[in-house]
Amino acid sequence: MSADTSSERLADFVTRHSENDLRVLILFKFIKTRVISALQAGHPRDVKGVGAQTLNRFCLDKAKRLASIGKDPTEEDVRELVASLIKK
Amino acid sequence: MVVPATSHYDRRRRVRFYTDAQGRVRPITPRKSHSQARRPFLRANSWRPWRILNPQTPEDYIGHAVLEASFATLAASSPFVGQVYASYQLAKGIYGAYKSARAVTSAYETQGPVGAAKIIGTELLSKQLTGVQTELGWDLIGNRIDPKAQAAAKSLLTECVETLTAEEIDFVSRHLV
Repeated sequence: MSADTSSERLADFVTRHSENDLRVLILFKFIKTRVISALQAGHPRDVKGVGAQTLNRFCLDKAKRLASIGKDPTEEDVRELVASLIKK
Repeated sequence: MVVPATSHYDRRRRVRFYTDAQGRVRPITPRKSHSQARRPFLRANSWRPWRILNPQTPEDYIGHAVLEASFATLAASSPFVGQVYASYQLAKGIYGAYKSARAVTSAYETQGPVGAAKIIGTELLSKQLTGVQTELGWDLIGNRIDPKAQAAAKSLLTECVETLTAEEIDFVSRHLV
């Protein structure tokens, strides 16, 4: 898939969705990138063991939870939310 | 003296009856076994992602446990909060840039056909998002971001947003509705 197609899809996404949804998309990609890096650093076999669909759903679930703060949160609000997610 | 039942006919004769609260005469049936009574209810067409929230196969359990462990390590790391905050700011910046693109579009609408104005608006936004790596693109978004989160947001932009695939965008778009 070319970069142009991705940017068109991203533009289309921004057109059709809210700022909060865009926040979910960015957090989804961020979590996915970091989780894959962590799995590869731990054991490459773990990456193969986790299916692509499972990984996507897991990252989307976490992104939705992390994006659940209202409009214009402070860094302190984010810190509290992350702390509450870790406790669960 | 109770004679043990030997045939289907004899068993039928031994069935006892009772009258329920509505006055209906009903047969006394044997109690369900424990395993039958507590059989889980499988929702095939539920709105919840059943297999993910309730992993069924050993692979699901292992995969989910591995992912949870990785996420816990990630969330406990020190830059995580700053990066999540930068993600919020980045979304705000991109969305703000989009709004300005829309403003240009609506200004054009007053001068030309509506359809053409929409196309120009989409192209403008596409150019902004395609060129986010350039300084010009970053300037459009960067000045809308909290200065404290600018460095993290810029690295997130190049590391994550620009590597988003069309499939990932479609996946999130499909599951947000």
